Amino acid sequence: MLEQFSFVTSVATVAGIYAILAIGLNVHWGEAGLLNFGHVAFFAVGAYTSALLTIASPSASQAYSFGFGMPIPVGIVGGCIAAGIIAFLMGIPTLKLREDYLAVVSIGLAEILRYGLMNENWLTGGVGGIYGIERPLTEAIPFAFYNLFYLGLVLVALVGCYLYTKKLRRSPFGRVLRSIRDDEEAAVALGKETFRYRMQAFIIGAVIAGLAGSLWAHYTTALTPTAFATNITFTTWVALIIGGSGNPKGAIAGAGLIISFREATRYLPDVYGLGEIMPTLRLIFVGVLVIVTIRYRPEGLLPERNITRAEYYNRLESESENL
Amino acid sequence: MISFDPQFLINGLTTGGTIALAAIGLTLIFGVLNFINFAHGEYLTIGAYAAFVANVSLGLPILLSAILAVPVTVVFALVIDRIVFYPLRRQGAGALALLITSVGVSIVVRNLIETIWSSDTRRYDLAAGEAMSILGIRITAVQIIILVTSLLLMVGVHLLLTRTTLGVSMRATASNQSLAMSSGINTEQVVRWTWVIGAGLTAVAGVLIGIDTVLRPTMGFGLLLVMFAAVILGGIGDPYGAMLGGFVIGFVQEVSVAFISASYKPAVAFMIMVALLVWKPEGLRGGT
Amino acid sequence: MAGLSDISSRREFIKTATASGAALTLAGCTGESTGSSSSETITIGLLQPFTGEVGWVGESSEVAVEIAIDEINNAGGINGNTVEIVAEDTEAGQQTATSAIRKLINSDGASTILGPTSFTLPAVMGIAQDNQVPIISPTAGTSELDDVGGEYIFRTASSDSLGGRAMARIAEQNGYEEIAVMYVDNQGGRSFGKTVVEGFEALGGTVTTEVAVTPGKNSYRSELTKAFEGSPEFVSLTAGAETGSIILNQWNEQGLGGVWGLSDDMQTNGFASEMGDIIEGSYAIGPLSGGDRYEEFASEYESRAGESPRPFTAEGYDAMILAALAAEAAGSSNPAELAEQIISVSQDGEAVESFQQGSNAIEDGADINYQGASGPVDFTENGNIRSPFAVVQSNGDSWEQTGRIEPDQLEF
Repeated sequence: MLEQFSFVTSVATVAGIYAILAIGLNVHWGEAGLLNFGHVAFFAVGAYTSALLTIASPSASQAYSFGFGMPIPVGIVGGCIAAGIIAFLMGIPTLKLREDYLAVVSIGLAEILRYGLMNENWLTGGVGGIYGIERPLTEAIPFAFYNLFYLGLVLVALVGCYLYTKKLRRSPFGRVLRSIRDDEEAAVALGKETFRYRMQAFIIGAVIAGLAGSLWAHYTTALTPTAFATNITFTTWVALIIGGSGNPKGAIAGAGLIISFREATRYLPDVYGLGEIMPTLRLIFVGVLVIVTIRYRPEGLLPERNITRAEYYNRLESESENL
Repeated sequence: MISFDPQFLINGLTTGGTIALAAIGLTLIFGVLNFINFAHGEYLTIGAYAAFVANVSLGLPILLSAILAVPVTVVFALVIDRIVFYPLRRQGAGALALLITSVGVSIVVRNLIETIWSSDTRRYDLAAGEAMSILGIRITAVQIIILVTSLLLMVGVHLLLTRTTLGVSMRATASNQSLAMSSGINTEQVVRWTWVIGAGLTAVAGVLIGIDTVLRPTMGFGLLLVMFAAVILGGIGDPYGAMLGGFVIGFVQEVSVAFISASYKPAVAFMIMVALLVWKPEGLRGGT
Repeated sequence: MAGLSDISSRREFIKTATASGAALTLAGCTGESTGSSSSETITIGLLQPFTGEVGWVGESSEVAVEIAIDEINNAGGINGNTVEIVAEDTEAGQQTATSAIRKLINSDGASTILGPTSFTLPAVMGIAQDNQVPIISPTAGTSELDDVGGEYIFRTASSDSLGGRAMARIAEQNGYEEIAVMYVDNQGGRSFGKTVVEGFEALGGTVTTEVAVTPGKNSYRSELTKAFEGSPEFVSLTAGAETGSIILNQWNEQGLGGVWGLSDDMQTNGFASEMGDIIEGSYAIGPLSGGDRYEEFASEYESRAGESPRPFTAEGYDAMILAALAAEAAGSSNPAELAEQIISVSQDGEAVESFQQGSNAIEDGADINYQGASGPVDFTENGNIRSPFAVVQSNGDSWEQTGRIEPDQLEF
């Protein structure tokens, strides 16, 4: 019985990590109105940094040159910090752009980062990547319960991020952020330095994504650049849109739904010979879901409290109407 | 450093020609409809596969298949607009809603194509060509066709934009939609024609790429970022800029192989795009 | 590709059988097949990519493994128990592979995992090791894994560090002094390509250029220009069949000259006939097809799939037989006990050539040495094999063996 449960545990763990990612993205989009399509970059940076900080010194046959063998908490914190730094660097040139440009640029930057991961063997192990990453407390926890323990760890992190972002929303900082999101001109007129607020939100969301990345690294114990492609960003976006953006609860709901859906369709019996095309069918369904959601319920499943649809549409307006 | 081989120039121009054609479509649609269409790459793919059906499944000659691909793609684009984008426009949804929706459309179309034709690469029914050597540079008949077709179509677009009422209306709508409407331009009609021209050009680009190389379901999506780069390079909404941008991007990508590791080649276009957006967002031609 | 479409119905059957099995297990919690005695079904997990560019790997290895399973079940099964496979798709992606292997181990109770490829094996290794379930991969050649196996990780495919040297040897044996090396930029490509470079230089030759290409692109003309800059006489290409065919077609169109050394993915007769004259005279390394065992396997494969065996299929067949023999030797299908016998049944003992033979010999208390369809498959202490390679050349329609390279020719 414990064995079947173990499979469910692993799905829940992946869903939990995506939920953390989605919460981070929610800070970007839901709170600050930033259309960040390069989210996977922070995830990747968090994962690789934590891996490199905690892994043992590499042997001669390994492609990468660094391994610092530090304890895992150092790795995780390091991953968060690194993601934050990358966000800062990425934010400087891009946060001043209008939202749809940011979308395009952020994908570009994330892809450049991924190419860097693939090619700079000395740092990242290149295409072969890094494996043998340590897991926390493997001696202390009996083997049969380890996956449950790790799920618990992820849930703790998730709850932590959720509470933090909730606090953020209620804080004066959060209020200013939302006012910038809704009407930048007014905010500027009131003397708010919109760039600084945006940058802070960008970094916070990135740090959260970095945390997700670190947790991921110690979960799978192996990283390759191909795992950090744009589909992770898109999955996170879909989770956010369907679950309800502007809302950390929505982020969690969306992630849970999307990941469970993905894994559950693995189990489907092969009716009507659909087995071979199941992966593409799954994706088609997801795409249709996005289209339908934006059309009929753009606020998502769990909408931001007290927001009407008209207000939400306002949010989806681009800043400039004319060219 | 490796000595510059003029061969790269030809490779760059042909790659650039196809990117340019697709980019013109993207920039026109952006100009008139004011949203970044993430599904734009799929028109390229639809065009290529439509010609594939005509050429391989139905046995028609390639030229006819290419010509047929255009209306097929245009119909698709119009239908997608009518069912998906138009209702949102009418609801007053903004550019971002359309952008996210277009992401959904791109996922659906791409995976539909993969469902039907699988992810294997496909080829048209053509004889393999041998390159000719002109002045020590190798070029194939297909590459010449690509260059000539791209240039002819671009000239056509130019004539359209400057000599026809439609073209003038398109430019007017692109620069100021409300003013255009109040001066009696039928914007919905302009929108429709923008899709026709934009999707049509992109379909041709798709067929050309398919003739030159191979078809796969991700062929359009894979070029999307490169198309964006070309559009941004040339200035959004500016079709001439898109043409220039396409050639420049294609050229730089191919030439870069001589200097940096070929595995960074796709990243080169992104780097250009990012650099431009940061330093000169209005593009090389400096503003629409 | 025509033959492989028959497979979809087979997959249908297996998946339906599996799903109902899974449903029953979930409902009744009776899914523990890690026991001994009484007649029960032994589950083997097949973890391979079934979709995407390398989807053919999963599909073709499934045929090969089924050939083995039918042979095993016809001979009375493992320790008297029937064997079945459950297949899961890795999509050649880490996350998918990770959850797929967990499902195979935890939900399906797999005694052994066959697969996956170089893209995902590093990611799932740890999980298998933690659960003490052996993995025998017929496809993962990346040299990164050279030192990590032997306890739970085994490979019936040659490591690229050997394959790459074999390629370098071929170039050297044929008198070429200057070569170029092209490879796709992923785990499989780099590991093989870089070994060719190192190997050829160790043999005293010159590598004029080394070009890494991004797979999945439409045009490689510029990469070809760069590779042929120094006018190499021989070029080693490590790529998937699709990327390879684009590169070779464009090479032909440009009239660049030289001779090719092609990698495993392109070493199918289907590829050779499709490319035709373009690759006539090109070299590749392949399984030794001289043996009867391979011919037997090949004809059985052909009757099921409608085409000649793809790369790694014979290795997949051997992986399954080895797992079964190890279980027989252990007297149980418990994964950890099975794992302990894997190396021993593969080498050092009485030579056996089929499951039936091996099973009988084990019953008589003998120590066996399984000789496979893909080669002698003798595992080293790190779970790798050292087999001789066949040198094959294309005659414009198919690959013919024209030579052979022994393992000791690869030490330099």
